[in-house]
Amino acid sequence: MAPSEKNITYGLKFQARAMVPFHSEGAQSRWLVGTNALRDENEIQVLEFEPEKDTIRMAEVHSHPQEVWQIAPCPSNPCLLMTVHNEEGLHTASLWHMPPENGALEQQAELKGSSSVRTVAWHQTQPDAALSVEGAKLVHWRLGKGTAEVASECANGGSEELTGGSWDPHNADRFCTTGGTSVQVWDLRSGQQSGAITEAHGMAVREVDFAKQQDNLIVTAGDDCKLRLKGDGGALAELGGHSHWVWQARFNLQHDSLILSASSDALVNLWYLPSCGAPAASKAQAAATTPVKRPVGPGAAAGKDGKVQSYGDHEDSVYSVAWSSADPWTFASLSYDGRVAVHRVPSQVKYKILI
Amino acid sequence: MANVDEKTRRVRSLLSSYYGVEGAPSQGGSPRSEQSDTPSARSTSRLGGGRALAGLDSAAFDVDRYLQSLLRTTRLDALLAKHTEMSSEIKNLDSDMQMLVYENYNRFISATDTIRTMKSNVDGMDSSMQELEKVTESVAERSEAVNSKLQLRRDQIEELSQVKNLLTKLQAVFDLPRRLSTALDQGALEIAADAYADAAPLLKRYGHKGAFRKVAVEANACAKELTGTLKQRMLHHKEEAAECIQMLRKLGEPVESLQEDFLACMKMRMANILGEAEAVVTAMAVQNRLRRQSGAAAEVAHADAWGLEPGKPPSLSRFVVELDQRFLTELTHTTVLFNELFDQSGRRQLLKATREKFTEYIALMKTALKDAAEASAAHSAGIQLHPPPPGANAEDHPTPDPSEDWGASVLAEALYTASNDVARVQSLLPELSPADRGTEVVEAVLRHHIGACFAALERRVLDLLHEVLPQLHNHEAAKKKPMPGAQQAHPLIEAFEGIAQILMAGTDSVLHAMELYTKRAWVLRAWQDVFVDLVQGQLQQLFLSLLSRFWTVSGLGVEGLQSQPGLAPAAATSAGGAWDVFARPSSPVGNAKQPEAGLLLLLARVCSFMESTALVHVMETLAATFPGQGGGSGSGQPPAFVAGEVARRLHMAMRALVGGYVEAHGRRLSAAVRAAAAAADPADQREPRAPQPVCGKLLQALAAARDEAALLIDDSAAAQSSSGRGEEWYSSAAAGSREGMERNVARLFQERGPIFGEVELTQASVLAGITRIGIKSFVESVRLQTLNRQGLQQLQVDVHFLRPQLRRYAQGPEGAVVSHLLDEVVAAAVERSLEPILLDGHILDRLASAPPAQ
Repeated sequence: MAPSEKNITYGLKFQARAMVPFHSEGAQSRWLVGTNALRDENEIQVLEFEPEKDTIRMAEVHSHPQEVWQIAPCPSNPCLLMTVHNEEGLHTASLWHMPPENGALEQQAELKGSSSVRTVAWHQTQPDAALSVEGAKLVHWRLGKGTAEVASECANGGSEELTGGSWDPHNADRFCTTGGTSVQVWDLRSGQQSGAITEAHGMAVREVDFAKQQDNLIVTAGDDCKLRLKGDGGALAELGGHSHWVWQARFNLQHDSLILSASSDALVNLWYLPSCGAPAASKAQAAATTPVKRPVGPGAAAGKDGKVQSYGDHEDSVYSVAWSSADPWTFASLSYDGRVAVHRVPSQVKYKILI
Repeated sequence: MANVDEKTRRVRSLLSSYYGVEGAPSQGGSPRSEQSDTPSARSTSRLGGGRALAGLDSAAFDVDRYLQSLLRTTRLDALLAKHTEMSSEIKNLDSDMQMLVYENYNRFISATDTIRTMKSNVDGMDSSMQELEKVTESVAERSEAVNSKLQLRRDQIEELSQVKNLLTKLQAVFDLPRRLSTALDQGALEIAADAYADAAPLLKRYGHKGAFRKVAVEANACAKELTGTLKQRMLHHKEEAAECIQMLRKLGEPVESLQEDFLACMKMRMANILGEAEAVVTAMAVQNRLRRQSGAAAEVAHADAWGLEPGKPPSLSRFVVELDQRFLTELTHTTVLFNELFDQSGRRQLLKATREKFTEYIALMKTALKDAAEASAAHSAGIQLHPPPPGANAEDHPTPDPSEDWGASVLAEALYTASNDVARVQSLLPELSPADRGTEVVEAVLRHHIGACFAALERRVLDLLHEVLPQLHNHEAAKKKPMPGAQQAHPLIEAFEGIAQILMAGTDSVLHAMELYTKRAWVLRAWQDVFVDLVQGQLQQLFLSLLSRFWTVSGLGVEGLQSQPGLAPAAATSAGGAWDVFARPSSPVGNAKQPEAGLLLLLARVCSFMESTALVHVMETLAATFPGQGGGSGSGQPPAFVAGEVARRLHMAMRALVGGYVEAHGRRLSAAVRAAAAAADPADQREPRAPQPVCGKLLQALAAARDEAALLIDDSAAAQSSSGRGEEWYSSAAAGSREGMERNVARLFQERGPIFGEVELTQASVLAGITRIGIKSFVESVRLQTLNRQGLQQLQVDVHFLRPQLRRYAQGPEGAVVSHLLDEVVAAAVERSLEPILLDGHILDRLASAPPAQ
């Protein structure tokens, strides 16, 4: 760990699983965090990180009756958000209006499906379109003022339970879901599954995330403790530095060569993959994954793909990591015990990317 | 006014005649006129009865009447207006006309210009025509001249053909060709050569003239045939070569080409010898099973002379003697003859030719010796390189015999012969530096032999490894059908012991064989130190290459440990390069995605063994075998065998492999837990009665891991069979040597407190590692559920059941971590339950004592 780096943490009252970057103005990085307590009154907090003071403060708090499993803020309207919440074992998604001041969230509509909703996602540009993943199908929603109607459904006829998904930021007609050990690719125009990566992981796939800059580059995380990168030319890299399930993997919003992963071994890993940074970079290099040791590997310093750093300031499983939308070099991680930690990308890596 | 009108009219008629209009149209011709007609004027004109009064432009328009009527009927102011209007019209018309005239004037001028140009052009054409005429005349003249000249040539040609006719009649005079051919037919080569030699000057002088030409051609053809015959003879009868060359000289062959032919003959003979020898080498290789027989067996002439006898292993020394005798004798003989026949100017040619063949000879010798080295290495290591064809005696794997010398003495003998023989050529052809080449052969073969020996060892280890997998399956199958009394050893144990044996005894015997070379001073001459370094380097290479092979076999997918900084492979000095001969045929099992967990543990154990035992042993043996030698090649260079480095890498690999093993087993536990969680029905209202089946599965998987670990890790327990061992045994065996380690682990956990720490190669550490992963997965899957009271209580029962059982697998500080994790399962269950009501202690005890549901 860099000597100058302080331990910047913040504690929530309850357990928590969900954290996402939140729209912010100015230099402050903001995140939305939702608590996950089954029998208590839950809340969604807006956390703000002030880089000058190196502190996290709670900017707003909004009560949310049920426990929060996922938060999806509307990309265009900071007052709207969707959550996936749990009541009596059934996961449902709702559309909420977030008041500008502290106060309860106002429920606008419920995206009531036929079974447990696994994840929800907003359309990149249309604030009235959203997608939810439930059972073995995708449901397309048309959101109105206080209403949510099913616009269409996409199913492939299979019965495999889908567990999560992600919308391609480059192509609004493409959606990737995870299910079992595979990743499914959907064409939303036709409502059909257009492809699949079978055996994407040795065990169940937990997460899929699209690179924000490059087209056709995804990272998947799985229960086999590995991250896998896939691009046009098939598998690009396999990163194995965790000792338990990997719950989330996130591309940096500006630089595709930085990836964060969160695992239930209580570690957050920051990966630097120069070969994925620029499309022109040789893919041959990407095939070479470096062995990962627990200490900070000099391999990362040599400009090869590999782990930059492991952040060990959580004591419980880390279920969520989120980059800052204000500063590409800042990120936060959230562990089940409600601890939020904020870190910055080490400056040597930062300079390697910038210079 | 009238004046103006008249002018207008004139202009109008002029324009209309120009534009071909027959008189202005009577009405509507000009809108202006209509406009100009006031109503009174129109009525007046109507009164006037002239229908042509409609416009000023009509021919019938009467100016005076129009003026009169105008003056009469119009008021003064209107009249004045009329005046102004008309004068402006007139002005307009004037300017129109002016413009028209100007335009037409322009056209006229340009027309004039054109006509003038045409005229001048026509004038110029006249002179051109005259020129053309002249040219045509000159062409005619020239063609006539050509014609007459050609006529002259035609006459000459006719004359010449007459001469030719004459000469053909003289043809019969020359009978030289026939004589030549007769002599050739009779085999009187000498006569023919003489005859040709006599006639040659004449033919040379007049051969290009007239009738001689044909004679010369025929004579030359005969001479060519003669030359060919002579060359053939020279080729096949070495002893007549000198005579033949004399005759060829008479025939006028240039010396250079004679030399070339002579050398070509020599090369061909040498090539024959080498070709034959090559076939023998191939045959030997096939017999030694180094290579598969490709196609039909090459016919080897004089097989027994080469030391090839069916049913017996080929004799290397006989081969070497035979090859040397044939080739080197040929070489010396030819060289001597060449020196007799030609002067020194041709020596360059000789050298060129001999060098080529000599290089081939050296290469062949190297191949033969290297093949022999490989064959003896393979034989000594007991490797079946290629399965013998069906029907042949399929002997079992001969175990490596420590007393065997890995073919070192045979090789040394052969090398001795070869290098001595080669050295004999030194005086004759010093330019080829045969002595150096001989040394080169020795060095190359030695390097190869060392490499081959170690590569064979490596191959043997890998063979064992690859055999383990199917054996493991068989063993699993056999375990399901218990056979009383059949207390066969576990394949993992067998493999481990086999590998250990190879590493210890194998390296020993190879080193002893190598020692043999050092005892023969002539072999190594000046490079003894280099040799020792070489042996050490290859030994290190063996360790490192085994390491990387293990890595590949383990399928952990992480690039070899070579990529770590500061670990440049020390194999750069290895002479062998890739040992294709010893490469395993790719087996389908080797490419399996997930390797057997047991294999990982075996590999880890082998690494650990190599690090702790084999390495020390090898170092000692090295020191004993080559005391005070090696490392002398340069003080700045690192020693060839860096034990510390090898040990470090072995240790790292061992760590990684143990980690992989733990992960592989942990994955099984995770999978079992996940499957159970997926199958759980949140609405299940049944009261808990016994631990869930998943608990049984967890314990089963752990027991399997414990069996494997017990087999390989604890030395005292290694020989025991895997079944029917009780808890008491386990605890007694576990008590001994691990306390120091446990303290370390405890400290590790106190410092960091995470669930996942480094795993040591001890039973306790490995099992605890597996348990931790399994229980952590349990926690995670519970956290994903929403439980009712029954679900919570069921989990409580499960944990209560597991706790004492797991204590067997994780003791001391490890146990504390596992216990903590079990607490966490319950805590998670409480958090995730809608009704956090726990069971009482005694009910728990009763329920947990029941066997897990099936």
